[in-house]
Amino acid sequence: MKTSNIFIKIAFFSILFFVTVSAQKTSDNVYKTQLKLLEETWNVLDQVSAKAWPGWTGYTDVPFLFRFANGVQMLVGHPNPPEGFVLNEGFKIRDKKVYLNRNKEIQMEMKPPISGGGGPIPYGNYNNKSVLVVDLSVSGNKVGGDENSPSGDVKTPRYESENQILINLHELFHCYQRLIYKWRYGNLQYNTDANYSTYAEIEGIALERAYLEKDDNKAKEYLKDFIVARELKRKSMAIAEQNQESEEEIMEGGAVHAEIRACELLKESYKPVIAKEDDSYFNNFINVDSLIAGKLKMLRNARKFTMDARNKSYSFGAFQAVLLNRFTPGWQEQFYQKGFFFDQLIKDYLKLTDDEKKIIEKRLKTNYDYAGICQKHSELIDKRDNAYKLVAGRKGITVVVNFKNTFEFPSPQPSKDYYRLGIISVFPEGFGKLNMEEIEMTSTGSPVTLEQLYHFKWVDTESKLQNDCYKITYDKKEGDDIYCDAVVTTGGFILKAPKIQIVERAGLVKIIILSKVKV
Amino acid sequence: MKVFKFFFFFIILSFFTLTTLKADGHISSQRSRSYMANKSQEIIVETWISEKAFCIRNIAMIIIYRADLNKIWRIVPLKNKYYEEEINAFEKKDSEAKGETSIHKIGYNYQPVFDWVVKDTSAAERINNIDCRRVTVQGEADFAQKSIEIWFAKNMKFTINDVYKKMLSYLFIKDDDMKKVFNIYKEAFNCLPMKIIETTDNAISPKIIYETEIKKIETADPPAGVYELPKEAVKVNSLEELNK
Repeated sequence: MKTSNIFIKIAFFSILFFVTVSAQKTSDNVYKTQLKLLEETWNVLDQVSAKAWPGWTGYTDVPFLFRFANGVQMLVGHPNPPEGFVLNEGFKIRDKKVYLNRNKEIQMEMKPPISGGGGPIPYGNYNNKSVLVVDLSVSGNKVGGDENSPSGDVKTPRYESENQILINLHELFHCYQRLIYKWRYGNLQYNTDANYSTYAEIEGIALERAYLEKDDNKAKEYLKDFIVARELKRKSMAIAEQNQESEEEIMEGGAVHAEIRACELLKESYKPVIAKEDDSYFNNFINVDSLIAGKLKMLRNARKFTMDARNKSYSFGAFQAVLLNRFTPGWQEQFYQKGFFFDQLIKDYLKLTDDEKKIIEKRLKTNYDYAGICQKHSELIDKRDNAYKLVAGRKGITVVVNFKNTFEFPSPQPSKDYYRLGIISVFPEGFGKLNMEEIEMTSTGSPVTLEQLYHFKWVDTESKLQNDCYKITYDKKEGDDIYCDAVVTTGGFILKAPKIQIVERAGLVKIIILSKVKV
Repeated sequence: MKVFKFFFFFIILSFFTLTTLKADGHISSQRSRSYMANKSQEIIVETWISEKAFCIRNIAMIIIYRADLNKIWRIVPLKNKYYEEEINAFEKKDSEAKGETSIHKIGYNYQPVFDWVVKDTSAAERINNIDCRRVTVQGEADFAQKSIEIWFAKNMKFTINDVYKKMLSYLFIKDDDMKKVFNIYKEAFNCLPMKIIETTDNAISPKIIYETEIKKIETADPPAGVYELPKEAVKVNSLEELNK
């Protein structure tokens, strides 16, 4: 009996060892692929940066921090890697050293394709100064398929690594912006109203029409529409918010413009340094037209979205910049250094009189289906405000599920409408379902919010005491408040998670996810 | 907000120095911040305290509080610019700012409201040759948490005079968290915080740790004009303009 037990144990650990080594090997390939894509980003910039934005250099000096969903962190080209990072000799690219930090690694296979997003952050220090790095959170991506597939059921475009190269380029442009421009107004924090969303959509349509119009005079008229729509849109905004919006456009829109310019220039000539063997999802930028078309699609989607102001700045800003290329060549000279805005340069170029503006205001009503657009946004804004009133009016014990330790933003798949206010998503009829590795969370249909990116919040209006709010079953308990393989049932959701902690305070139950996989 | 935590910290000290030693108090302390794998260089802060004024200064900023003139001056010494506010007006503006949020702003500017648990560990430790007891404070909010360790020097006998009581009260209003902590642990009003380590796990951003420690306490003649505006300092109309 004992012999067979030992045999089973050996077999078990052998399998575990095999799975672990195999997972690590696959993950190592994923890390190498990200390095190859970074190398290709630099190669692209070697060929296009000077034309995409005059004076843009120094992009290879910016360290990159990749935070993989399995907890591994990879740091490239950092002059003084923080504690925990170990040099990996096999991963060197160009003259840059590569470091890995596996202190928080979990056994989770990283399968390609993977991609990441993020932005520049100060990370670590060197010579008593903080070091600016591009920080990317990297996780799995859908392979996707042909949008025109005969079945018509595949909606996600086929994944191409060129997208990741453009993301890298976008973030590197932000790093360059920091050298030549200082933020003056801060991020736009503004919830839309019906007037804003209506005229924002008209602005977006006018930008598209101007971009697609071949005749310069006609295109210029659309630009005038854009400027007048903008003035009407901003009636409910404070001056500071207007400046924030224009500043977001030069920052985010400026970076998207750099992507578009890079694509346009790659179309003229391009020599890659990586090949299919390095990354099977890399296609030598042969689909560059579709990448540019993707930016126009981005504009179309952004302008329609009722409840978001800030995300419009990416495409709205980019297409203003593209139109400045056409109408005012040379505009990039000292643009950031002098603190210009895109819309300001367009206004200066158009020199609209008050009388002209009045005429244009009238034509916006007829040329852009003002009534239809306004009705659509008004209805949604009303629903949003009512949904918020519903959740804000719920009084009782607050139950929070905190996903911050998972390194991922929870993104549920709601089957019913939901609304956004700031960084709150309101699910008045529940959030549907959420799956993240071995975590499963199912809504009961009760009103829930997702707040501050990582936190679900449900208010129990019936229970009197904290521990009446939930029932828990689990496989193992550690200490007073940590549960393994737990199932938590509340009136708002059912949560299954490999490891959680529950903290109770007066009127508050916090369920903190400690791991998304079994440890 | 953090500046006011400093205020609080040094005002507590001011009770000690002024009431026991009957001269201008001088405190030298160090502060550092750890965030995103980056520990900032330690900032040395010098504080001078008289009966009706105090001055807190480091390389980048000087704050002068003049109870007698009802003024606070914030000065950027490298640019020789300053911003002036009346203490009463500042208090009024702050209370007005706590009004209802408009629909355009809901969902931004999350402010955690912590529920505090304070424990006196009774553990004796010496900080810069002064006997202290460590007090731990754990704050839980819906999307954030905060832990504070404070090393209090106890058995410091002093009398709190009215001027400083008023200033202390004013400073507590600027820092709701510490106000609540001290209202729970009332003994703190009779102690001297020699060292504070404050760790905040914010709702979105990574952990941030502030560490402040008193290195020296003395009475001394203050440098000339320490409670006055620097010569030829240029007045600006807003904090934004000051920080530009």
